[in-house]
Amino acid sequence: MKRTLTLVISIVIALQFCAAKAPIKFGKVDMEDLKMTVYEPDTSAVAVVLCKYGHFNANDFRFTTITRVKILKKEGTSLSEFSFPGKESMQVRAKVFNLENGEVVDEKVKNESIFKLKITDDVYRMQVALPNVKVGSVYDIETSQILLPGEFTFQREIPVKYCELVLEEAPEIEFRKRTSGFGTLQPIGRNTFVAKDMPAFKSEPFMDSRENYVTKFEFDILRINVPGYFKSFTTTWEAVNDILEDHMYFGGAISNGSAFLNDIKKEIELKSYEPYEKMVAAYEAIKVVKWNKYESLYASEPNLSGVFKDKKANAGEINMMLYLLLQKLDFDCAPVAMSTRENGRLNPFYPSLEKLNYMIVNVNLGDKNYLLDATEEFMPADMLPKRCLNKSGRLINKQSGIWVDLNTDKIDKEVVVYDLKLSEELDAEGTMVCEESEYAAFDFRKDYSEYASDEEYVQDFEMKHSGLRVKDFKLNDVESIYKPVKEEYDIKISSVAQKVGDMIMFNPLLFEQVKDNPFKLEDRKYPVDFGYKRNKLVMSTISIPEGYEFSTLPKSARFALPDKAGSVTINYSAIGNKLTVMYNIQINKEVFSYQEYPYLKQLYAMIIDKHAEPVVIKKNQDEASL
Amino acid sequence: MKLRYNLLLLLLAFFAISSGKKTPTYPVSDIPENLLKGADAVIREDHTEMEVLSKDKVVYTMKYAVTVLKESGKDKALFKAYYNKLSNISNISATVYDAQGMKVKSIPQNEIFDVTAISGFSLYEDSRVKRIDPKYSVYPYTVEYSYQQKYNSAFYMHGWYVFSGYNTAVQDFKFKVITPLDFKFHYKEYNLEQGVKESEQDDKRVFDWEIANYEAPQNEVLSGYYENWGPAVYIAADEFELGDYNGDQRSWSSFGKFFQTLNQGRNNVPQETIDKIAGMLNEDMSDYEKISIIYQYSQEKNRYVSIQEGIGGQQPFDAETVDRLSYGDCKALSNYVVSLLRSFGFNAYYTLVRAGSYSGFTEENFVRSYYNHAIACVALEQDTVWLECTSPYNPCGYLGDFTDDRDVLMITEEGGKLVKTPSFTIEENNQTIGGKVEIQSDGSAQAITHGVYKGANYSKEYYLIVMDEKDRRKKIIKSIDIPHFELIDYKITPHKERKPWLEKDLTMYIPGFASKMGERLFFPLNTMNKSSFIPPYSRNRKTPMLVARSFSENDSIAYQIPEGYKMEAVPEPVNLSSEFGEYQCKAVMQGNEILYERSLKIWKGNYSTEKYNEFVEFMEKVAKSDEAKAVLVKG
Repeated sequence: MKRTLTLVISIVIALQFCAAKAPIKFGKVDMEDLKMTVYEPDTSAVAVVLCKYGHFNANDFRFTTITRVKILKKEGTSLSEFSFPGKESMQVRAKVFNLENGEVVDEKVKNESIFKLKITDDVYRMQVALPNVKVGSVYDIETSQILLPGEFTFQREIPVKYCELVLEEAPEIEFRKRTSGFGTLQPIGRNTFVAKDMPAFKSEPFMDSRENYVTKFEFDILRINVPGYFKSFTTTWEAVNDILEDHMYFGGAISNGSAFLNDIKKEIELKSYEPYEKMVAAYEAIKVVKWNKYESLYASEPNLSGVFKDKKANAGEINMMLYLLLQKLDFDCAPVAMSTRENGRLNPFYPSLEKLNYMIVNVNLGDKNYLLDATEEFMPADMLPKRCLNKSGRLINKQSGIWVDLNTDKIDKEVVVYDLKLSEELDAEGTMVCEESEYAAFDFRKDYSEYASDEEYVQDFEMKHSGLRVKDFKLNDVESIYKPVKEEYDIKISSVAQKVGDMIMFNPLLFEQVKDNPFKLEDRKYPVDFGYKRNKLVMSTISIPEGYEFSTLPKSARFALPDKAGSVTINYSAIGNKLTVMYNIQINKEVFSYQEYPYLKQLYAMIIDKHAEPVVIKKNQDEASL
Repeated sequence: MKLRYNLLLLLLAFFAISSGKKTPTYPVSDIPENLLKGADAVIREDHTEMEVLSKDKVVYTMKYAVTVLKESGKDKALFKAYYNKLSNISNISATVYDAQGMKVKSIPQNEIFDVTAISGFSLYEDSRVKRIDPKYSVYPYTVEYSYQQKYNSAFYMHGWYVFSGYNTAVQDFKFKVITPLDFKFHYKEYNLEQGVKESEQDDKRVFDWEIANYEAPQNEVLSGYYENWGPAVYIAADEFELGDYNGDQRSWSSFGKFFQTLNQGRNNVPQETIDKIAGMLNEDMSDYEKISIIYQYSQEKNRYVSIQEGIGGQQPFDAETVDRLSYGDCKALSNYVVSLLRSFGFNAYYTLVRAGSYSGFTEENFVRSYYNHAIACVALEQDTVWLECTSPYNPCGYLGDFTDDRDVLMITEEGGKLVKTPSFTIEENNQTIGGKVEIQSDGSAQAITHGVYKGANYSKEYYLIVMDEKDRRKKIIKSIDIPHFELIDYKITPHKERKPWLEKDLTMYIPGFASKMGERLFFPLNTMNKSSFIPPYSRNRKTPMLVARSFSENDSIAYQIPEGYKMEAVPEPVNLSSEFGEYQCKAVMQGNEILYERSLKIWKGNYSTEKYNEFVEFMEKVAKSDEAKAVLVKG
């Protein structure tokens, strides 16, 4: 009996909630909000969103958002300038409320404070500067547009006290929403979602993308059926596959002929390549078209011959051309639609066309598959740029597609070898040889290409290594991107050692001494994502002057992260007047959860402490007595 | 690496031979060898003709061609031409040529984009830009642009720099000015081997400047103002018209009058506001206190919003509008504050300044507009108070390194006056850190430090105050140059005085402060303030050196030795002295403490090119001395 009653009560409450009115009405502000001086859950907040209310109206298909913000500190006043992109029809209204002598004074924002800027022919930008916003002010801003926005966020860089989203059901429109982020959303009935007391969102270093962690809904329109307008959208990943197959700027662009690639094809076929070499040759040949830095899933024109002529194209176009060329050369290949790291991960359970923003090519060769992206001049065929290392993508084919793993087994590998002689003047002279492989080699080549001349490169190199002078240097294989890069420097390092009393101290790791903890911050909410594994080896051999001997050497050591996720080895050994130090760090995992963060932080702390230990040499006892 | 360079030349030679029948345009093989050195692009020709038709009509006809040699120079092929309501651009044409000088394509008119040129910090500006991306990337290649720009004012006669980017050489540069016989302008030349050639043709005066084979300048640190090393000519019309206003640039006084006219009638502060402020002032207050209250009134009421409108962005919107909307740009806010101060009888002046942390270059004897910012200035009998009206936080009378130490144009009833903003002395631009570090026998330490920041350092540290607690803590942790530590407590105390200062107190636990090795503990003596600015050694510097600001640092840290240990050795005292500055550090035993004292002074000044590497060596020695360690031993 009791149970039934509870049930009845909860139904009544639920019904009431369903029927509930909007939590705020534009322009109706409580005295309490104006009197408020501090937001208790976060007393340092410069401003707080008191209420954000998003509402999709099923009758006129308009989506309206009202945001009410309270300014708590002077620094918060700058949050009263807005800039939204939109079409010319976008509507904005705003009102500012201030308390003056106990009375609420409101002020409607007039046209003199709203600027509609034409960016290009059909793209506009609304710029709004709210007047009279000071500490204590409350303002309402309302924007409305036709149909749903791409996303609705419940969290911001300032705290959000209350946020409600109502999505009325319209039989004509079917959409899917995807929740992302760490905040809790409370559903009320079928169509209403509420978030309370959302903390301010702060980005962290080594985060793959803010988009994966901020609390929000992403919308995907599945179907619109308004008289005179019918369109079916994404319902399953298989449906996404089919839409792309039929899309004029995707499926269309890769089936509208590829005669423009005939010359390249012939040239490749003239050589008697093995299949793998042939794939690489095709990949390199496409690089004559340079990337214009736009990430795109689609081509900008339904036919690619124009962009091929321009020799400049977006990522989708470049890889579509690569796909076409590989196809012409009879490879078993298919496009892979994906989302870049910045754009956030794909979710297998929430098919979304909107979330796709990039395209690469999958090639099956024997029992191996290769993923190719020809946008980066210095990237070899068997590696993907870091932006593509984002869990998984969708292979697009006639059989409704499959998932493809985007993870890489390539690593960031670096070897640094010093061979130096310490002089009695406390300078060191000798050689420094560095070798970078895989991702480290890519980074070096890309960085090096930004220098206008070798003089600039050396000057910058010296600036990064204070006290070092390059007497001569040689770079090997900078142009051979399938090989590691090797740099050989003849160097002199001035005052590498210090004299303290009768001791001379120096740090044998030289410029490889880790002095800064990349994980300085105390706590972390989101995972650390390196993208790929790392391995760095330093070998340092230093001869000390005649007549000196080693007085104190640091002890060799080895540290490791749990589950072999990372390890550090450092060995010191001295024979005669020669010291050899070997230091190796391996990070064997790409992603560390926030629970693992303290281990990473501690690992770096231990490296730093170990690296700080100096080598001490003294004058030989026999010499000294002479 | 010489090999690569020779290869390039060889390639170029090859292109020259292989190009066939048609006459090539801008073949890469025509570039003299010296222009390729350190260059990623070469301006093949840059021809500008500026014809003045009248005080309100000037027509520029331009043609330039740039060869992009490699990827790093790719942005130099982009075309950007700015215009606003007072000018228009026409007849744009763009043609791409390959390395041999064969035409690849002409850019069609529909690929010339016309977009707003709003800068990152602006909410509204009426300036727009025409943009072209030649969309070609087979290096080397050349793109040639030509266009015409008409200005409705001779105010926009600016002159030229031959410089068009670091690592960009210029092969053939020509600048021609054509004026009616009765039109007067003045010009000033910098670093030119050959000056102007003047002539008279068809009832017109013609001025020609030419430069050939200008080698690619490199980006050199501390190189100071362009005018100290690069070829340039400044031009300014004696008289011009801008909108409905007449301007006169023959003297600072007359030029100031122009701005005074622009601002006339814009001091209309509502009486209500004046009455409200009057209620906040009383007779016992000093002038500075009164100014301070008026300045703070505007700081609290208004906020800075960049809206650049009206007469080419030169005219502020009026005081009544600022009062009503509670916002404005630098001109509007300065005009508002000046208007308020004047209603209370102060001699306050609207003042134009070239802002930026490198103080601007103003040629006292050459009148033209150098300015991009406005501030306010109040002249008292024995004193001058400067006000940065866009800052909501600055104490009254404080100018930070954005506007300090430079010539500014003060707009008075009698016209413009060139005056100088105050500069920070070496004593004022000071950072002093004191502290106590208790070392434990396990190598860990507890450190308590007290920092005092003055002069330009005040505004550099003040940003911490305006952040929320979480961000502030993060910033402080990041700013501490100790690899790993726990921040136990901190306190930031700003002192908003006319010469403001800021205190920063930190308490830290540093687990691995000293390295423990056998019987010994080794620890760094300078933990809180290691010298971080070490400019790169230069092999072939071309430009002189400018150190823009003097500054000084003082550190004094007491290290308490743990029980059971004694001092074994500390480094010898260091005394470095050079014409750039002075450095001292020493560590001495006092009771059971090692007292470390350090001081650094850097003088501002202009130094010759040859001195640069001496400066580098001085800073390197400072950095090395900052690495000094002390050794403790058991016993």
